[in-house]
Amino acid sequence: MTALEEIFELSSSNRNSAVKAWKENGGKMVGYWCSYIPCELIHAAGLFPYKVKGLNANGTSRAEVYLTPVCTCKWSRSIVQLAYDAEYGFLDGLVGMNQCDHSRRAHEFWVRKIGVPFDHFVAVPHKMETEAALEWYTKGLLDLKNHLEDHFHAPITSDALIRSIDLFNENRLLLKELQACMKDKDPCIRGSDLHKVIIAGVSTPPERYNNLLKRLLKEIKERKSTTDYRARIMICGWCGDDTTLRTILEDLGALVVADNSCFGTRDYWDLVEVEGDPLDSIARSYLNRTPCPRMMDGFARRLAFTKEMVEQFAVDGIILSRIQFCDLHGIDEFNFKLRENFLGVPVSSPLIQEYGSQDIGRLKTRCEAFIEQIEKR
Amino acid sequence: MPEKDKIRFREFDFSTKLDLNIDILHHTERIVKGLISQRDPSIQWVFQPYVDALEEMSEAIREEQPIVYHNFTVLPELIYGMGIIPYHHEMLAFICPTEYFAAYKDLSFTHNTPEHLCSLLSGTLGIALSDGLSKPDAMIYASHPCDSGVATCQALAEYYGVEPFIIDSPYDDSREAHDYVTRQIKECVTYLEDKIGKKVDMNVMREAVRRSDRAHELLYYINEMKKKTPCPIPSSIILRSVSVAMWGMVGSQETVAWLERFLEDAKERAERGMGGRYEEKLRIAWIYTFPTFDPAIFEWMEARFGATSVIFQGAEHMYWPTYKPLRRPCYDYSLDELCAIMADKSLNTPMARQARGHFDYFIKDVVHWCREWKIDAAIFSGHIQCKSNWSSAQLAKEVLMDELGIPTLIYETDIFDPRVTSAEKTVAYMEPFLEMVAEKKLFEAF
Ligand code: SF4
Ligand code: SF4
Repeated sequence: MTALEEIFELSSSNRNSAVKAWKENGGKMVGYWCSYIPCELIHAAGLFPYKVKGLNANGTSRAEVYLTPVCTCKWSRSIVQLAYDAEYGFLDGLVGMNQCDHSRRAHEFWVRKIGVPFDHFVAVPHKMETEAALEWYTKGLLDLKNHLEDHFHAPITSDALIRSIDLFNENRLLLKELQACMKDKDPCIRGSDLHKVIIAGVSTPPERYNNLLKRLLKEIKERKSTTDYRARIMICGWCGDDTTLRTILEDLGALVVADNSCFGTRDYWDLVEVEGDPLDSIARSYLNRTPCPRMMDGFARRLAFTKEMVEQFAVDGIILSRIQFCDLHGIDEFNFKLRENFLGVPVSSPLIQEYGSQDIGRLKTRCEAFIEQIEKR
Repeated sequence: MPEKDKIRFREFDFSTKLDLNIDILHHTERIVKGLISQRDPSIQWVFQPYVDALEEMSEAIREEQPIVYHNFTVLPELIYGMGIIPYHHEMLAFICPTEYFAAYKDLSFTHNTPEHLCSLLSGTLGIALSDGLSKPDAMIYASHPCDSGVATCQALAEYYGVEPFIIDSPYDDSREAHDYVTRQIKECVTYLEDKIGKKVDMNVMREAVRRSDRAHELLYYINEMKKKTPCPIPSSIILRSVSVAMWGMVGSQETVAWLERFLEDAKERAERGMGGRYEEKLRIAWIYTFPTFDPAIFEWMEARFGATSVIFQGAEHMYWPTYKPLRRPCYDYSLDELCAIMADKSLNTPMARQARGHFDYFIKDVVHWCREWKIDAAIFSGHIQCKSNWSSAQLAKEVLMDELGIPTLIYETDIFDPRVTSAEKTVAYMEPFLEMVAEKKLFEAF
């Protein structure tokens, strides 16, 4: 199997081969929802940190009894449905957070109505820049650490934390190397495949994943994924673990070369800088990472990051995308449209997706129109 | 229902294209004052908070004061305490004529505002985008109750290019959580000093917080009166006024004076055994918000079923039972202590208290209200954009039935915009439900 084929397998299901192998060896796994939960902490306890996804949910009707379809995003509903369907029966624990109003409720219902052997909630601050927020978050992570240690009888030593930090930093650097390939005129990988690489990464133990990334880089470096494309696109917003939008764009002849999203660059762009105590370092680094729209003082940073991406990856146009009912990304899109001139490339009006049951025809029409708009410039 | 008691629901005209580039503040002020003057003089006082709120906004502009926006969980006493008048930008969306509200809401969607944003906030954004708000010098928002609110803060901040101050809300209700907010409120005082160019005067701040305490105390007694049968407060008129008085102007003398009068009135009615116009047969709790666009809905409930609306989560049942303003008589609090008092109030603001954290806070409060106020049935009027509250509805319904045997109606609406669920449609949801409740009560009486 080539590295890319292995990645496709790992990214295509929730209970992938990495999960099966880990469980067969008697390993324990802890699920988490959002990039603000440091996987280093879970990993340092000898656990496999696994980012939950909504992949392949077969409807969401059971979840909807509590998580209303009137206004709850379908990604959150899908995850809870999968939990009801015992798809996540392999998890030995779950760490929730106040990522948004949807996912925090989804976590609560999962814990209350379905149950999980270990559950913990971290109230992550919505601000990056203040001492109070940093102290609050550090204390929250310390509580998580203590709870993990108690429940799993696994002391999390400073040395173990440092090893985990190094491992995940290596992982981030490898992903950045891969992303850097998108700067080429004829990149060696398509954006939709790169997305699968990232999805695979959050559901594979980091040791195996790093080896896989190294193999992948070797295998693909010399090839060209495509030499003839209509436009270089950046996606801003939430596409999550769903590759549909990227695939549509690339089927239409565009190339997705960059993104600003949580199953994308935002998840791995910033390293954990160790300075003093490793837990404090994790807290500081995570709070200061390229912020997601839940961070309420983060738009200027997101805008600057997007501008940098546009320049570095020679982006021709930005697609704004969100999942239906997501206010956080919705308002971010309002702000991005306000700053279209600053970004210097066309910015689409928001493209709203219904997770898991994509209205392919509508998305195709919108994407085609946007690519044509770029071509006409 | 006898013919003479036929309830007339409000009629709206959404077909006329409105000019949105008007001075909506003064337009609203004229309309509100005109409508109040048409009411029976004996009840005109009930609407005074509307007049006060609108006049305060005008005064802030006239006096060329710094304009400070705040969302409803940042209690205005903090701004009064800085010696200036708060600018009630969200309140303007709440009070302005419904047709305008709907048009502003629609306008915001043409500027890429998400159509699933809480309509109070898309309405507010619409007014901002039409230049109907004065440009702020400062903005204070809290991240409770919901993402919608604080996301709107980001939009306004970008639109006006103003750096906001955001109070990050904790998820739990521990001492540490309150201390965390206290610390931020203190930082916010420094932010305001910087933005408005003057230092806090401790006496002014103490006075604002003291008035707010007094307002909460009065509200507590008013709510206690509602435990009486029949409920002495005819809610259909008063409920929006309480929201305006508390959310917009707590910390002002006007709110204290109005609540004193309100309490006196309630006491007098209770002494005389008076309820509403109709005999009270059922006691209803609106465990979440309520339709704000037509008081006739509540009159219909009373006329048709003798169903008195006793509890309104979003209005009167604000801070209780969790928050009790028991204070030192000399009121010589330090700034730290005042910030702690304000933090406790902010975290216990209705809707915010129930929505910001784990759903058990909501469930616990709902059970408490329904038990203590002897409720027969609960209504969850699900504001269709309200993510955190909607997801507690079904659980609340199950718990109320299991623990108290109380049925709950859940229906979809936009509490500000009758185009989504009109008054007629609202009562059509309620009719079979209340019939069932009435029958159940009758059956239980035998
Ligand atoms: S897509 Fe938006 S609403 Fe859904 S979980 Fe993510 S942040 Fe929340
Ligand atoms: S009604 Fe819901 S969405 Fe609107 S402000 Fe309140 S909690 Fe937020």
